[in-house]
Amino acid sequence: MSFVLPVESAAEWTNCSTGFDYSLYGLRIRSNVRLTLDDIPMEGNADVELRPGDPERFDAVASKIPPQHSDWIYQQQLSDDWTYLRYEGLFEFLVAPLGNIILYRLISSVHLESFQTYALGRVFSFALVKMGFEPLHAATLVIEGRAVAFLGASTFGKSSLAACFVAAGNQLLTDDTLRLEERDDHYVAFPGPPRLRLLPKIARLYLPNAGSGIVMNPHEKDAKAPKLVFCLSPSQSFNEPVPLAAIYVVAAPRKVHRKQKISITPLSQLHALMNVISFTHNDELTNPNRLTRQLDAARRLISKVTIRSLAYPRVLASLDDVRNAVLSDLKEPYVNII
Amino acid sequence: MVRKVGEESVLLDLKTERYLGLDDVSARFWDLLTSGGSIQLAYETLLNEFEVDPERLRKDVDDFVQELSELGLVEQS
Repeated sequence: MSFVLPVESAAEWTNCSTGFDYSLYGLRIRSNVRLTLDDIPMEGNADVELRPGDPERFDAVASKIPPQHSDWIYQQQLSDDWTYLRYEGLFEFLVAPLGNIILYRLISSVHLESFQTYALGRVFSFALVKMGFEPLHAATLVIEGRAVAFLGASTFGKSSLAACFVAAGNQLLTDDTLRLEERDDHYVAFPGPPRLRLLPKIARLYLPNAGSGIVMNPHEKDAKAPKLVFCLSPSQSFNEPVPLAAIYVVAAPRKVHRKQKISITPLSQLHALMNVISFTHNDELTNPNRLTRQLDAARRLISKVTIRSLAYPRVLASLDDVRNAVLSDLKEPYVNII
Repeated sequence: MVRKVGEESVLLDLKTERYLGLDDVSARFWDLLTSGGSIQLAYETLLNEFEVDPERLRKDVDDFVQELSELGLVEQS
């Protein structure tokens, strides 16, 4: 796939009258842009609308950005409780106070996958938090009908591990953003976009048929080891909610020696709680109500779901062993039986 | 704000957005402190409630108060 979304959105890509409908993270999304996901027409209102914003409004917000900011991704909470996100040279977004509307403006012609990845990833995480959810930073697989989440920061190797599982026949539920919902005595995990963001060498090894990948932004293009977006086939991904069996907190690479053995160990409830909070999207929305809700949501989660630490050396050849260790651990009696 | 987590507690300061893990003794100390007691009174109450060496408790209390102070959660007069 090689679709470019023109800065002047062409009729080919947009539908201003009805929009295109998608189901993601257990929510109904109506997008003015035709995304590369399965269109699922629905009646009634969507949970989240993705549509173009008034250019004058974006101009007004952008004019107030401090000139000295150096990050290519700029984000700011506005006084009217909208959230502004700008991906320098690509696009900018405004997320409504209730999370039900995401406005966008294209700064240049961009790859549709790039737009989609940011709009439905980091930008969408703001919408989820504003809607009252506490999405986790987790790559999640479906293993024997149960969801198994790998929690950690974006540089911890979660997606590489997920690719290893996919290569072995497991299906991806979501790569980066995991929305959970409490149901009586367990949690249900919802599917995200069927995409994995990987280093090309990982993709060549585990997803040889996934194409050459898509560069997300100019910075990745110039990077020595860019992470590219790879589209998964329907057989490699799962698009229904799945009961959550376990969460593994992936240890930071710098904390694991190359010769260290793979270890899966229990976490104290306090450590489990702090990890869940640390790896919840996103730490920019920190008003007291949200912080209180986040803490209480994490407390409930750790009381119902097995959460363990997973440490392994970042040696490519060991990923299959990591997978086997996780599969063995999932057979242990402390793992949630659903 | 303090929430019980298993046998421990976590303190969340909503102003600084800092979290602090508390064992049962420090959670009880925080409870006593925030219900209007002085550090000395809280210390004496803990001494009565827990089987602990007074000198060890004094050091732990001083260290904890120092930590709370550094986090801006208490002001020592």
